[in-house]
Amino acid sequence: MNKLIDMANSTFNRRNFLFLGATATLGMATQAMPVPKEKKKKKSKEKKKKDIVYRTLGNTGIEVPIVSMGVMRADNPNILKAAYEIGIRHFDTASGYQDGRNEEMVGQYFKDIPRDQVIISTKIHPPKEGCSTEQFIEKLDQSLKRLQMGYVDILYLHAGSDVAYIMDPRYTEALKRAKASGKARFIGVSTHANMAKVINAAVDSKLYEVILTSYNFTLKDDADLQKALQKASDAGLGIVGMKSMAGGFLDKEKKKRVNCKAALKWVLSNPLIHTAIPGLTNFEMLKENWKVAQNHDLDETEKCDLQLAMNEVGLYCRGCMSCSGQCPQNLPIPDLMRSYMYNYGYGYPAKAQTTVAKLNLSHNPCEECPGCTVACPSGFDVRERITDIARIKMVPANFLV
Amino acid sequence: MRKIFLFGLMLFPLGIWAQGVVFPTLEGWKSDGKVLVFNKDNLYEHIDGASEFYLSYGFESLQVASWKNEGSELTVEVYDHGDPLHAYGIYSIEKSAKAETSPIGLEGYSDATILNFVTGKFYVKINSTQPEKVVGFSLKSFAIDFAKTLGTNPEYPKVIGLFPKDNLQPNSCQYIPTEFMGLGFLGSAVRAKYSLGGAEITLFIIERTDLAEVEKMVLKYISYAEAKIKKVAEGDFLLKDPFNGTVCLRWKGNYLLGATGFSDQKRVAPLLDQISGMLK
Repeated sequence: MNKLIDMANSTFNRRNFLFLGATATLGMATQAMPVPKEKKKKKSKEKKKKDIVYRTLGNTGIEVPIVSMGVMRADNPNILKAAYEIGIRHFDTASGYQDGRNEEMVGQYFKDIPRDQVIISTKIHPPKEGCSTEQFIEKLDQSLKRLQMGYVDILYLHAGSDVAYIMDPRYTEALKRAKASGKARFIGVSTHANMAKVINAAVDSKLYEVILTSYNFTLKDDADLQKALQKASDAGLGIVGMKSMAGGFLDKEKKKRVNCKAALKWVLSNPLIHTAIPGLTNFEMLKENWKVAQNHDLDETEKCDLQLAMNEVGLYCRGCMSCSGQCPQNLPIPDLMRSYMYNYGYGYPAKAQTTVAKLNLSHNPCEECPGCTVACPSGFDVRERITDIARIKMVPANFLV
Repeated sequence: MRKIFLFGLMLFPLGIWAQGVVFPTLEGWKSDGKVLVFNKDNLYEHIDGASEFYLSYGFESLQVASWKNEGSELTVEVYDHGDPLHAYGIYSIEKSAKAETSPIGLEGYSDATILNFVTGKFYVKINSTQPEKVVGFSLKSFAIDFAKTLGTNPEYPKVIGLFPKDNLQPNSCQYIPTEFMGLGFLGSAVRAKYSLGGAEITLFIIERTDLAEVEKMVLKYISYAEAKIKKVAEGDFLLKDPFNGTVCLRWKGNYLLGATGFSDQKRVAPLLDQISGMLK
């Protein structure tokens, strides 16, 4: 008899909990970081002569406006045309987007544009069962055919969430061959989960030259990620941000929209992020995002919007420790709140599980108490969170990343 | 030694009937007995990097089952997109213009190792490795039989049938769920491409539930295109869209029809006439 495994109601589900943090102010961990090369250029033949901020993608030397374009959801080549004409130069696609049709659209539009005028990146995701080096290269060849290009500027190994995957010798060899043969100018890895670990491994490999990572204001307090970005920057890797809108909504019901312009500005106010690839699907969005390429300073309204967004759902424990010692059962509340944040805030369930496992608790440590007396200054429902996160120890570790 | 089976006799439900999907028992193939189920919140765990696109097409759930037969593997992914239009939409947008389609379920296409088809609210993607090694196994026969378990007599969404057949480019009929032509106020639309006099013309049909909604859309488009049209009533409009070029619009009842990519409006008028002639 087959077993239905509900992957969503499993505790190892990560992203469904990626909501917004609560307590911290907008002071960013990035502010003290050294500023890499950044300059403003006059756009050639730009009628309005507005300055566009350019940054260099690490040691690749590729210089691009800080606003690039994620092509994934664009169904209309006219948006590509408008994006190119407005000044965007870096376009990101993937072999898996629309089963290759997205690459075809990119190829169809850019075939008439001088190749050295655009930076094209694509991504290849080996199938779940894996593939050989040769099969990986075949996939790249298919992508190049669809793109109608002899090479891509950046070839990413798509969606790396663990070290074993990004260091799989079959794929690293394929990436090396792609570069040696000139089919890819630079090679990189994209990551949406376990980002800090993946980035650190990518830097240590001395193989990868560009990182494409999820990065948005919900990750503001993720110190591990900030450190990893710094390490990547110090090592000369190019760093491209994605998922800058954090899903675009503040609630599961999708009624409360993120201020997307503010969210993009927040990402680009970190100088470690060289460019971001928001998914542009309409012309209004394109125009709004492009304004950020000229000025990524958050104004007061935008700061306020982001602050409200962060307050919307309190996932982020600021570690004030005021809950410490409050629990009549002597539960280590700060550790549990931190685990909750790892799982639901940062999408690191494996780390959450490790933290919970060390505490040696039952799977429902609050069941003896009729109510909870612990008061959190951020207003967290402590009992609910503990009940939720303690279950993670029951999930087989191999399901977690 | 591998056996030869007739696939019509090889589909045995395992008793798993979840959301209308029954995965068969395939004689000679081994299954690990698991059906993976994904929903909107964790689809990315299965198709990381592409899940957002599926979500935009009303994705509700995915069930995945797999089998092995010596060196061959077979994986069946059943995507439930809630209704036939969205299922057709995601299928149509992933289908290559060069695909040779055949009636598998509603419609499908294949190559040596991949077969995709749509039927009802389901978009099904079948992947196999070295299926030719299994004597007697036919990916297409398997798919045809499996499609029957997902529903019978599937039909194309009615709006698809409104497009004229003459000069229609193969596989060009696509459903766009939001922001058609990059314009948020247009919302969803179905489009198709035509080869006419050396030009590629795109026709589109936007259907809404009431007249006021269409009127609002027309007014917004007129404003967006900065056209000097004072009174708006059902009929034709020629707008200069700053991004999409000249657009010919025809408002009829709850429908907004349109064409882009033409150099001569006279060429598209008969096409729009054909469509509007079929509307109530």
